[in-house]
Amino acid sequence: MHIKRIDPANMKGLAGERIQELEAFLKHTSGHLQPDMPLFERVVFTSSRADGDHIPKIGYVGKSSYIKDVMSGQFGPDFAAAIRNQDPKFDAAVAGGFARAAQGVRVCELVEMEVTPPGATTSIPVSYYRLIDRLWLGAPSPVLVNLTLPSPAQFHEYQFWQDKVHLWQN
Amino acid sequence: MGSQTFVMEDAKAYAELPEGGNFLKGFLHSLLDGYRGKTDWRDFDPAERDEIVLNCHRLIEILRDAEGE
Repeated sequence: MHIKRIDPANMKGLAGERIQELEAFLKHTSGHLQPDMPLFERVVFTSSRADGDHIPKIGYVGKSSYIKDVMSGQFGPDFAAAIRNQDPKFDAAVAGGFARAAQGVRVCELVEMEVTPPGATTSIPVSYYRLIDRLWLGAPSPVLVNLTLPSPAQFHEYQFWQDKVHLWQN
Repeated sequence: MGSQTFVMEDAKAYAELPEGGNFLKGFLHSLLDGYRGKTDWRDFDPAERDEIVLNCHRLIEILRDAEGE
């Protein structure tokens, strides 16, 4: 498992462009939700109560989000618990980023590791970029917005984008 | 049932949130925008309705979670 801080400007491919787009929006709006928020269907909102040991409670899950793809749509009222149960190592490895973001640090990283998706008997290598930042919806406390996208090194990135290409045409 | 009615239907759940949950309207509008052109509750199939309700439910849960700090 390897997690590396990376400036969005140095993120490659379509994934890099999308992360840059969301980062620009967050800078422009000072982290406030607006109707024109880009990539809304691809992001996940989590609780800002992040202890660094586990993925925080997950709220909104974009219907075209990467984690929903990885989880094969298997989710219920407690999405974070589903991920923890599925792959505790993954949960522990990525939890730190949420805690840093909750403290006000915009997290932009390349994550390379192995995960065990639902139905798989062995782990598979994944490589993805992630952005986590605070987002204010209007309530006193922010949520965390997380955009995760497969990096160009991810073996199935091509297929992923082919499947989703129609989503970019609107 | 449009998004406005949807918010009203869940008024009880939102009532204890800041501003009576009015700020959730922005979230809900962004959420419904993702369903390409569907604006009326009857336009959505049962799976989509479940997905929308679940997303709202989980969002309220994390906001309550944060307020409890």
